[in-house]
Order: sequence, then structure tokens, then C-alpha cells
Amino acid sequence: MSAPAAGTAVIVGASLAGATAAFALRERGFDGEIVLVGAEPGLPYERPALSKGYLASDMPTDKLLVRDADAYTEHQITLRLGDAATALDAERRSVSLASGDVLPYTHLVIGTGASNARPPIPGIDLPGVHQLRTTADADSLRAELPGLRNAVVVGQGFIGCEIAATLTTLGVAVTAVDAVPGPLWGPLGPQLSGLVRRWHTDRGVRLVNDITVSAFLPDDASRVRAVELADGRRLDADLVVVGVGVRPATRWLQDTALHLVRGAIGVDRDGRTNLPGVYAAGDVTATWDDELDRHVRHEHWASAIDQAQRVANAITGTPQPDAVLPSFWSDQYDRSLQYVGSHDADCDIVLRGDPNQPDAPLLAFFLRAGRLAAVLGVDSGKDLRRAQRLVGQQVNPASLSDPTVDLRRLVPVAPAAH
Amino acid sequence: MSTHHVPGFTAPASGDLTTVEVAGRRLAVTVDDGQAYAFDDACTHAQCSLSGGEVEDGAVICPCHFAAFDISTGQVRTGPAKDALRCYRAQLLDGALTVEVPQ
Ligand SMILES: Cc1cc2nc3c(=O)[nH]c(=O)nc-3n(C[C@H](O)[C@H](O)[C@H](O)COP(=O)(O)OP(=O)(O)OC[C@H]3O[C@@H](n4cnc5c(N)ncnc54)[C@H](O)[C@@H]3O)c2cc1C
Ligand code: FES
Repeated sequence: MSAPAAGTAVIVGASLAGATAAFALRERGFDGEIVLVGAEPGLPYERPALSKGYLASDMPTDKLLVRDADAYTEHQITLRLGDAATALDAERRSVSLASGDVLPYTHLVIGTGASNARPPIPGIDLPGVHQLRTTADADSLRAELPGLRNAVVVGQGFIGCEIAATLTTLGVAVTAVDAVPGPLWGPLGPQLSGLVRRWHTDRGVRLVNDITVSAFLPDDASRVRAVELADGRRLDADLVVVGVGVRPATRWLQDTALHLVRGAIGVDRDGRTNLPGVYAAGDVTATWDDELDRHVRHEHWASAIDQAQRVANAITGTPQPDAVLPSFWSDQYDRSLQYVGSHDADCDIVLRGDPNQPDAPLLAFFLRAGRLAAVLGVDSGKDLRRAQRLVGQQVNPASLSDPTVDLRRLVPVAPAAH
Repeated sequence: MSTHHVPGFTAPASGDLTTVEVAGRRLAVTVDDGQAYAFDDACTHAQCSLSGGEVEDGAVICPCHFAAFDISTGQVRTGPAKDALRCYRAQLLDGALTVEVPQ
């Protein structure tokens, strides 16, 4: 194995991917300087609770921290918080910061994540129109919750669905709007979207679909009062949350030779970019997928950690473990949804469980030409883990759908000889 | 500490968990190689019931977001949980379970 890498590691983006990379470098024997640069003012924290437990309670922000302050001191990680990177000079190997400082690097790790898309809808800047990405966003949303009667959530993706669920649980009357035909339509497809629809409508959420928002309308005090739809309908809104997707935070990299794929940084599965000494991890990346023959974005908690660890392995010359499958979870009401693998619209779906019973456990298997591409579980985490080892294998659909077949014993079928 | 006898305890199969009520607490119990392990049933991450998960390589794996806790120390092996799990001294003698909980 190569000698422990030295030099200076600059990590831009002080969140889950960046902080994980910093600690992972030290744990793998990197003994040079490590500088972690972040635009947000505080220590790196984890975002998943922002749309769930954090929003629904008075949970303090320090419950969200990736690591506490002492851990950075112990691991000799220099923090440059509240200072954003503004430019990369890949020739000179340096990064410029908003403060004017210029940091030379031997290894650069980019973990600048993503920021929320702001669609150019009239009225989007009105007070009372929120978005949710940071603790600052969550705190300003939380401050509005006491006494709140009704809210409109724009977007029925994961974030929109989770916010709708949390607000509903808090007693707020929620209407959720999306241009697609149903909640999680893109990620899960029509059939499973129908199941998610029931979770929401059974609890009183009004779902409005196949329509876009044309404006946010103010009251006399210039605060949002209603949401206007493209067909002229108006939805009363004491508060609006817009969750319509994210954009990779790569604007500061536009004038570089870095290979961007629809705005995200194209990386190989170990986080290498096309530039020497430059790596990227987390929500800012699009990772090359041999199977799908294209770059794929995995904007999830587990992927940020996995990619950051692989980057640290690559920098320190640590052997890479086998690639782990992409995975994520989402919590809505008391439903816990887990997913592993990656599928697309071409996959067939085989169900174990009854989708007409929206509150019962369910497994959905996504098959591409007979091979298991992904598994989705609803309140079925244990079975999902058992099915996970079958991903990539040729499997018998009848055994997958049969609840009496123990997933631990299910063996892949030999692919037909060519 | 007070020692509690758990009436009518049936040991779960290897890798599985069961729950018991002891002194007003809901605990998850697993038996590994004849030794019983007891800990809070509520995961420290988002309170999912650990008894719905499984035990693998000496760690209980939460069914919600797959945090793993060492069953003898409660230490977090993998996230997203941050806080250690509270464990209780448990003993299995001739099929009868006793658990020690703080008073
Ligand atoms: C509300 C919410 C709920 C979620 N729930 C789940 C869930 O249930 N399950 C799941 O798997 N995933 C969930 N996620 C996704 C998960 O949080 C992300 O995948 C994860 O945060 C990605 O981490 P990251 O470090 O790559 O990027 P980010 O967390 O986006 O962090 C990037 C950081 O870089 C900083 N930055 C940006 N530009 C610059 C610059 N030029 N200079 C310096 N710093 C910069 C940003 O300020 C930010 O702090 C959720 C996300 C949100 C927002
Ligand atoms: S509730 Fe156990 S890992 Fe999240």
C-alpha cells in the first residue's frame, strides 16, 4: 500500500459529505492539513430530520450535528465556516473564498451539495412563502407553526410529501399541489404513487394534481394569502412551502474545466472528477453507472456518506470495499419507507403485500429483464435488508410475491444460457 | 438497581427479538448463544421499535433507517443514530428471564 497521503486537503462544503470526508481522511492516516470550508455559519449537521422530527418539535440544532465541536479539534480539522468558495483555479490548485482568502490544495474534495430550485413564479418572495433545506429555513418555518390553520405545499416529491405529513400531524389543514399526476410519481411510478396518495388523503390532505402554480397572491399586509393555479383556481394559504427539487451547487465552478453533467459534477464511483487531485461527493455529484451507461444522481443521506468514504480511500490509497447499493428512506406519518438499488420506468413491478391496504407492510420489487434492480419497502425494513443481497440477480417473480417464501432462503435462478 | 423476573418469557429464535415490559419500560430482548441481551425497544434515532429489526454480528439493526447498535454495550456501530442505546443486564436461567433496571 502507498504511504499515507500528505499535503493539504481542502474540503469545500461543510455538511454530511464534507464532514464525513474530513474524518474519514484522518481515520485512514492522512497526516497533512485538513481544511473544511462551509458557507453556512454552524457546524455540519444532518438534514433528514428537518422535514420530520425537527419540524414537529422543539428539537435543538445540536441534536442534528454530524460530530460535536470537540471531534474537529481532536482530529485536527480546521473549520472555515460562514465563508463560501467563490472560484477554483485548477491549474494553480487553489480555491478562493468570499473572505478574499486563497487556499492552496494538494487534494480538493467538493461537497457543496444542492440548493432548492426557486421557480420564477410571481410572488415567490412574499413573506409566508417558505422553502426547506437548512436549519435556518426550518427555524423560520417552525416559528410560523403555532396557531397555523392551513398551508399549501407546492411539490409532491419526498420533501413535499414529508412536509405535508408533518404539518398534517400537527393539525394543519394541508393542500399539496404538483404538476405530476400523483405524489412521488417520478420516483415510484403510478401504482405505488396510488398507495402514497392513500396515506395522505386518508389523513385529510387534499392533493391537487396535473396543474401548475401560476402565482402566490398577497393580502393587504403583503403576506401570502392564496395560491393561484394555472386554471384560475385559488387555494387559501396562511403559509406556503415550496419543495420542487434542487440544483447542484456548482455555480462557483462554471468557469472551470470540471466536467458537469446537467449541473452536477460527473464522478467515477470513487468520486474522482476529470481534474487531477479534485474529487467530489454527495448531492453535488452525478456518478457514472456502468449498468445504466450514464451518470446518475443519488441525493441521499447514505450515498453522501458512502461517496465521502470512497473519496477518502482514493486519496489515502486505501483499498476500496465493494460498492454498496444506493439506498434511502423517507418517513411520512407513521409509515417508514425504505429503498435500495436503482430502477427506472422500464422496470416491471412485483408486489409482496396488498397495495389496497395502505397501512399494511408492503415490498415492491423492481425487475429489469428479470433481474432485480431495486426493492422498496413500506414498514418492511427487515425484509428489505434480506432482499438486498438479491439485487442484480435473476430472480423468480412468483417467489418474490409469495409472502410464505422466506427471503433469506430465496436463491437466484440461473440465467438462461445464451 | 432492582432485579425483575419476567413471567412467561419465550426466547426468540436466533437473530430475532421479542419485547418485554419491565417496571414500566418496554424493552427488546434477544438471545445469542444462550446469553440474553435487553435494551430499550425505542431506537435512539427516531424511536422506531427495535424489536421489529434483527440481530446480526452482535448488533441490533433498526428496521427504519438501519442504525446498528452493539447489543452488549449499546454503542452505535453505524448511523443515522447518534446516541448510544441503553442496555440492561439480563440473565436467562433454565428459560426464565431476569432483567436489572435502575429504580
Ligand atoms: C428536508 C430534507 C429532508 C431529507 N430527508 C432525507 C431522508 O429522509 N433520507 C435520505 O436519505 N436523505 C434525505 N435528505 C437528503 C440528505 O439530507 C442529503 O442527501 C445530504 O444532506 C447530502 O449531503 P451533502 O453534504 O452532499 O450536501 P448538503 O447537505 O446539501 O450540503 C452542502 C453544503 O455545502 C455548502 N456550500 C454550498 N456551496 C458552497 C460554496 N461555494 N462554498 C462553501 N460551502 C458551500 C452548503 O451551504 C451546505 O452546507 C433530506 C434533505 C432535506 C433537505
Ligand atoms: S429510528 Fe432507528 S435508525 Fe432511525
